[in-house]
Amino acid sequence: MSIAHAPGTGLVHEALFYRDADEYVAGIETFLREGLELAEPVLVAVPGSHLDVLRSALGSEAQRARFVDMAKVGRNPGRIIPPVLYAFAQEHPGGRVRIVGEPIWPGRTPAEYRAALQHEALINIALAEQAATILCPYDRWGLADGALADARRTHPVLIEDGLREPSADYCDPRVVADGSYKMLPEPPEWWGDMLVFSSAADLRVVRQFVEGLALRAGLRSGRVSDLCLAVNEVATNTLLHTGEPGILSIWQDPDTECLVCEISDSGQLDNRLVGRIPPAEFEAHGRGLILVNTLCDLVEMPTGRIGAGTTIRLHMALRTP
Amino acid sequence: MMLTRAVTAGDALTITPMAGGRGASLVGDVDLATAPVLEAALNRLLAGDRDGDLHLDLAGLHFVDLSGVAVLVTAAFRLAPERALVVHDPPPALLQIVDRFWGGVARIRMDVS
Repeated sequence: MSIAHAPGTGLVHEALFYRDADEYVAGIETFLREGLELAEPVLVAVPGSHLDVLRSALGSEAQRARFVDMAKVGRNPGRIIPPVLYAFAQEHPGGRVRIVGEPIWPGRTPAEYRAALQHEALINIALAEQAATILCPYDRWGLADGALADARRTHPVLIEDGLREPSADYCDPRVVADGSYKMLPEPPEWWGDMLVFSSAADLRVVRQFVEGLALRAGLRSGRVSDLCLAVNEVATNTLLHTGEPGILSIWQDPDTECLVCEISDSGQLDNRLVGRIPPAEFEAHGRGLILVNTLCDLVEMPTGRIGAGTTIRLHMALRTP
Repeated sequence: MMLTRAVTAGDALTITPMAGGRGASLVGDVDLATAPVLEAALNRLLAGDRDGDLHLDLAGLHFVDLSGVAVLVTAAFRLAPERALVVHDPPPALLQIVDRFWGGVARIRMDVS
């Protein structure tokens, strides 16, 4: 299989549809060796067991690449761009970097999938100016047809059956990113607990409310602190950006065994890249949602104009996998 | 003007100066409501024209948010180059946030016991 990659100046974002382990290794190995020959810095961000497969395929060359476990760093898809993809490109200014990024795999929960789809779409905007070639492997047998159709919409180029072609279905990433949250499911009928907050002085009550419920739900204490901080930052954004009250709801999702904290307010998140690009050291704002994504196991953050306001959901796994 | 007496923000945060203007001890929570109080107190500590490091005892700090850490980082950058901000017993979140956003550049020395 021979695949030529035209470098260009900005982002190259391609999907590789593979049928089995052989196609997986063959497609990615070619891609990686090409990068190593060009002396490009190479990052491999794939889930768990795939790491070993690719390491052994590269043999002694593997030491020239960096490997990270996507199931860990990308468990929350919202935290893939800033510390992984964007950081790797920034670490190597002046040259092209080559990345294998596998954010979508069979076994992602529906909520994780929505966030991962939004992530795949936003890569096209957030990293548009980066000299990066990103290849995203998709399991053609293991994933639902819908996921493969989505991959055709989020990747300008597709590699399938050894052919590398522009995707006819590629569309405006803003539309895909916004659309990924059009179907945010209703919270369970029994709403759990709710709290309205309206001023900075209420934030302490917000944190106590989260702490009490999270401890009762059985979240480990270190993670309780993480969740309190995350909810605090989102609630702070509500107060700073809307000047109006926000509503905090907390419930347990029995399907995913997660504690979910939802913060809804009257604001609109107009900037789709909020929380995706780290600000410069001396910039005062722009870190809150990056921090929230770092702290939580999953963050559902719809973009674009949906209904009358903004709803953000923070998920924390009650059991460590 | 130096920070000569304790500053409080309701019952949420108390900032008590150390002897000789070496620094201050914080007890309570730093968040959107109280970060401005911390900023004002640090401005006073920085205004005192003195040598040596600036010490903050955070053993009694129950919570600090991103805006609170930003206030500390800003204060650290305002110190003369030969001075450092030394933070004693910081809460884990502070270490995490500084490392995540200002790692390597923040002139904060962490004294973790």
